[in-house]
Amino acid sequence: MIKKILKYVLIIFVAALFFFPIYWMATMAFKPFPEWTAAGEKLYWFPEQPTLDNFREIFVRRTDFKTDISSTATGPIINSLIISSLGTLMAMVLGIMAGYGISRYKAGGQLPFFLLQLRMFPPAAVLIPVMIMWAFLRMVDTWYGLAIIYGVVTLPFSTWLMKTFFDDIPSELDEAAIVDGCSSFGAFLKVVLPLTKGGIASTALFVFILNWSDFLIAFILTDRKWGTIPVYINKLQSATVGQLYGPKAALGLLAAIPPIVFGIMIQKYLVRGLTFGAIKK
Amino acid sequence: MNTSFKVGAGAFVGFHVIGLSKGPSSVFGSTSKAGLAAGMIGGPTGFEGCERYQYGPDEAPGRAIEGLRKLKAAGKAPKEMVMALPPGCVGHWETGFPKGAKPAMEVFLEETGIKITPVDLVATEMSTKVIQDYQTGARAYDVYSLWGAEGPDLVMAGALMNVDDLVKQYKPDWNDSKTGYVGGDAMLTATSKVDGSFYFINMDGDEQVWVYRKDLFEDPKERKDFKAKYGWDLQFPDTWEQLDQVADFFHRPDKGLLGCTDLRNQYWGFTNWYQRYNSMGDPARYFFDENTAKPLINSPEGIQATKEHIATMRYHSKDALSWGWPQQYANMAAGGTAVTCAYPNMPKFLDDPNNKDSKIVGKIRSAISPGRMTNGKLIRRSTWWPNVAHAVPSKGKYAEAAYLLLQWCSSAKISTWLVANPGGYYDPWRKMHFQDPILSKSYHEWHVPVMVGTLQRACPPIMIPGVLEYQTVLDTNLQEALTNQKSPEQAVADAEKGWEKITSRNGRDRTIKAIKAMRPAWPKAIYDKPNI
Amino acid sequence: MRTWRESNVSNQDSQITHTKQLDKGRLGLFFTLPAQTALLFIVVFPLLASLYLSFTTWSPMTGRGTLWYQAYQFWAWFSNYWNIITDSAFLLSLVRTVIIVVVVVPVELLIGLGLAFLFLEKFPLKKLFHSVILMPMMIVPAVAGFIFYMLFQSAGPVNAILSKILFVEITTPWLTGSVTAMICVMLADIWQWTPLMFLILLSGLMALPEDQLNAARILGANWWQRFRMVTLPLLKPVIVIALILRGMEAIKIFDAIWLMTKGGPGTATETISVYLTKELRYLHWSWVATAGVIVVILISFASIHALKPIKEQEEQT
Repeated sequence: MIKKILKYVLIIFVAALFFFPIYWMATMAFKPFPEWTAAGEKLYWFPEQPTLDNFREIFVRRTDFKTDISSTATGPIINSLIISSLGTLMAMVLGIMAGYGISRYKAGGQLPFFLLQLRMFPPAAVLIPVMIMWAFLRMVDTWYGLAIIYGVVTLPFSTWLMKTFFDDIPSELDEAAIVDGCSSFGAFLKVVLPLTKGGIASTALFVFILNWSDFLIAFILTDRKWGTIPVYINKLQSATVGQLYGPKAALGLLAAIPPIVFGIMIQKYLVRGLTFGAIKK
Repeated sequence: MNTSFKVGAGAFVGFHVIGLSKGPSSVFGSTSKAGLAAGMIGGPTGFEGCERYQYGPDEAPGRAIEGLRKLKAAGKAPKEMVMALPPGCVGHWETGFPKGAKPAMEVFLEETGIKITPVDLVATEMSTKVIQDYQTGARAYDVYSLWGAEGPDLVMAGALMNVDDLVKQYKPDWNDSKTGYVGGDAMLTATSKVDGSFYFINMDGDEQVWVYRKDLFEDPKERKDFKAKYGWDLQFPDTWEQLDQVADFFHRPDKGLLGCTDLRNQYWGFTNWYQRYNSMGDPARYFFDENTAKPLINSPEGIQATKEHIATMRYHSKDALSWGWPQQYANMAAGGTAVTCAYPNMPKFLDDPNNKDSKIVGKIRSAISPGRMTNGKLIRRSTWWPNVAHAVPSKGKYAEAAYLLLQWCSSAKISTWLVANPGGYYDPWRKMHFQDPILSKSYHEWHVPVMVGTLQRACPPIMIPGVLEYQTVLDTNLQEALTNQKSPEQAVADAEKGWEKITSRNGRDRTIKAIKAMRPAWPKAIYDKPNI
Repeated sequence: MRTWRESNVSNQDSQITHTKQLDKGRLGLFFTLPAQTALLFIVVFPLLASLYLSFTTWSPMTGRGTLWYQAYQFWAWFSNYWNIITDSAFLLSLVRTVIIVVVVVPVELLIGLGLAFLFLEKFPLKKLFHSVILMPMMIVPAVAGFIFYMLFQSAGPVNAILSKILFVEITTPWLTGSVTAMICVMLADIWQWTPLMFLILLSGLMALPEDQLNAARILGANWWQRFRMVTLPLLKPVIVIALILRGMEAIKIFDAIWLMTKGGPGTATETISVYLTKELRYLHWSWVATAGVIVVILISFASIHALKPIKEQEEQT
C-alpha cells in the first residue's frame, strides 16, 4: 500500500517537472513586458497584470511603437498546418509502402540501412546543396518545395516504424487472403493495413511533430510567402525590447495545440501501437 | 474636399509660378499633393514643422523622386519593391511620426506610385540570406539590409552592386558640408565604400554611449557618502578607474541595484572591451598594424584591457554573460542599474513619457565613454557598431529604382524625419540630425551633444573581410577568460593566433589594403580635459 | 528414386515457386520504388555537390562572388580533409556531441523505462498524467529553447525553487559556466524527448506475453529476477529501436543549444551542428561540405556497429 502511494507521488513529481516549463510558457504568454524577465526586481510566478497584448501583437497589426513585425502570425500558422500535414502524408504513404515491401519481400536491398544513415546527417552539412538544388528547381518559398523535403527527411522514420509494425502481422494472414482470391496488393490494402491502424497513427504523430518543429530547413527554404511557425517565432524581435518573449510564448502555446490535439485523438492507438516484434517471441 | 482642392489648386498655381522661374525641369512631374509648401515636390505633410523635411526638385531627395517618376513614365519602374528590413527598422517605414504624419511607405507611394513591401529579416541572419539570394540567383529582394561592418564581406561575395555611376548621375547629399556626416568624408567612406566605390548606404549611427541615473547621482545622501569615500564629487567619471569606483559604490544587489550592466554576452559584449582597448593609445590603439596586418592585441594593452574586462564583472549582474539587450533594457527600465552602456536609442526608448513600462522617465542622463589619462590628456574613445545599412542587390531586377529609393531615404531631410521616429532603431549620424528640433525632442536635448561628441571620438570596429570571424574569435576567447577557462594572457594570445590564421586565409595583401582604407575614419587628435 | 510424375510435380512446384519469387520480386519493387526514387532524387545531388565542394577551397567570397559550380577554379584536392581532421575546433565539437549523446540517450531511456513501469498499473487520473508526460514533445524547440534560457537565469525560477528546497540561497548563473551550461543543455534535451522513450517503452511493455511472466512468478522469481530473465530479453528489440531512433536525433541537437547559449560560454556547448552553423555564417562553405563528408563517414562506421543487433534480429525472422 505504501509502495502504491510512493509510486503515485513519484508520478506526480515527474509530471510536475515535465509540466513546469510548459506552465512557464503558458504564463509568459499572458504577462506584460515588465514581467517577462527577472532582470527587473522580482520573479513573476503568475502574471500580476495578465494581458492579451501578446496575442494581439501577433495577430493584429498595431501601430504603436512596440510592434515592429510587418506580418502577422496567421499566415505562418496556416503554412505550418498545410506543409506539415502534406509532408507527413508524403512520408507516410511512401513509408507504409516501402515498409511493407521490406517487411514482406525483403525488397529494397540496403534501403533500410541507408535510410537510417540519412537520418544521422547534421542538416547544416547539406543545407547549401539542398538550397542550391531547390533554387534551381524553383521550389524555394513554395508549399510543395518544403513539403517534399519534409517528406524525404522523415522517410527513414516512417519506413522503419511501419516496417516493424508489419513485421508483427504474421504473413500467414496475407497468404490466407490471397488464397481467398485477393491480389497481393488487395491483401495488403484490405487485410494487413487495417490491422496496423495503431502503428500508422503513432508514426504519423511522430512524423508530424518532427515537421512541425523544424526550423533550419524552413528558414533556408522559405522567404516571405511560406514561412512556418518556427521561422516566424525567430523573427519576433523589436527595436525597443529585443526579443519579444511574451509573443513568442503566446505563439508557442498556440503552436502546441495541433500536436496535442492530434495526440489526444490517437491516444488509444498510441498505447496499443508499438510492439516491435516482441509478440512473436 | 473643397478646402483641399483650393489648397491643392493654390499650391499648383504657386508651384507653376515658381517652377516657371526655375526652369522646365522643375515643371516636369509636378503634383498637387496637399500640404506641401510652395516649390516643394515632396516630403512628409500633416504636422507642425513638416516644411523642414520637404524638398524641391533640385535637392537630393527631389532628384531621386524625379528620377523615379521618369522611370515610371518610361515604364521601367516596378509597381512594388521588396525591401528586406530587420524587425527593429520596420517601425520607421510603417508608422507615421509625429502625430498626423503619414508613414514613410505611404509618402513614397504617393510620390512615385511604387509600393514598398517590407520583409522581416532578422538582423543576425541578414548576411546569410543576402548571400543565399545572390548565390541561388533567386532575386527575392529588391533592396537589401545589412550591418555596415559586414559590408566588405558582402562586397567580396559579389552580392552588392557598385552604384558609383548612379551616384554621379543623381548626386546624393551625403557629403554636404552643412548637413553631412559628423565624421565627414572619412566616415562616409568608411560606412559606404569598399575599394573606393559606393556599395552600400548607411542609415544608422550606432555608437556606444553611456547612460546613468541622474537621480541617484544628484541625491544628496549619495553625494555625501560618495565624497566621503572617494574624495571627489559624484558625477559621470572621466576615467575607467573612476567608473570602477562609481559602480562599486552603487552595486547593491540585495537592494536590487547593480553597479553597471554594459553587456558582456556573446556577440555584443566584446565592443565594451574595444572601448577599453582603443582608449589605450594616442590618438587610439589600433587592432592591426596597417602595414603588416599583424594583430596588436597580444600586448600589455590587450592584456590590461582583458583584465579590466574581467575584473569589472564584480559589479555586474550574476547573469551578465547571458544577458542580452532585452535583459539590459528591461533592467534599466525597472531602475535596476546605476550606469550602463548602450546604443543611442536608450534615452529615446526608456526616457519616453509614453513608455508606460519605464520607471526611469526623467531620471537619466547620458555621457561620453570614460577614458584614460595619457601624457596629461584625457583620451575617451568609443566604438561605432553595427549600423544598419541598405544596398542594391548586384543582380537586382530594379537596380536604378532601388538606388533612388535609398538616395531618397538617406538624404538629409528624409533621414532626419525617419530617424526622429522612436518606433525603430535608426539612430542619428548626420549634422542635420543633431540640429533638428523634432529629433532632439525624441532623443532629448541633453543627449544630442553626447551623441555628437561620442561620434567624434568613436573608433571603427573591425570592418575588413572576414569580420564575423575576427569578432567571434576575439569574443570566444574573451568569454573563456570571463569564465576562467583561460587566463587573460592566454586569451589574447589565442585571439592573435586565430586572427593571423584568418588573415592568411583571406589573403594578407587584401587585408592590409582594407585596414589602410579604414584608417582615415579613426578619431584623430581629439582630447578632453578632465573634469575631476 | 523419383517417378516421372513426382519429378514433374516437383518441377511444377519449383516452377510455381520460381514464378512466385519473380512476383514477389516485382511486388517488392513496386512497394519500395516510390521511396527509393524520392531518396535518390533528393539525396544524391546534395551528397555529390558536397563531395565536389569539399575538394575545393571555394567560398562565396573567393574571386569576388564566383558561383558554386565554378568552384573548380579553386581546386584543392585533399587539403580540406588534411586540415579538418587536425582542426581542434572541429574535433572538439565532435567530442562534445558524443558526450551529450552518450549521456542524454541512456538517461532518457532509463527515465522512460521507469515511467513505463509505473504506468503499467492503474491509478487515478492516469489519462491526465499520460497526456501531461507527453506534452514536452509537442512544444516547438524554437520556443522550448528560450523558455529554458529564462528558467536558468541566476534570478530565475530554477534557482528560486532550489533555494526553497535546500534552504540555501542559490544564485548560480547556470548558463555562464562551461560545465553547468552543458548540464542545462542536456536537461533541455532530456525534458523534450523522454516522453518519446516513455511512449515506445510503454507500448513494448504492454505487449509482452503474460504467460512467461506468470510462469516466472509461479516459479518463485522475485521482481528483479523476473525483470532480468524475462522482461529485459523480451524488451530488447524495443529498447534497441528506441536507442537508435533517439540516438540518430541526438547527434543533431541544435535548437535548444543555439537559443540557450549559442554554443557558449566560449565554445563549451559547441556541438557539431552549432559548429557547422557558425562556419556557414563565416561563409566557409567548402569547409562545411568537407565536415559534412567526414561526419557521414564517421556515422557510417558507427552505425554499422549500432545496427548489428537489428541486422541479427532481421536474420532471425
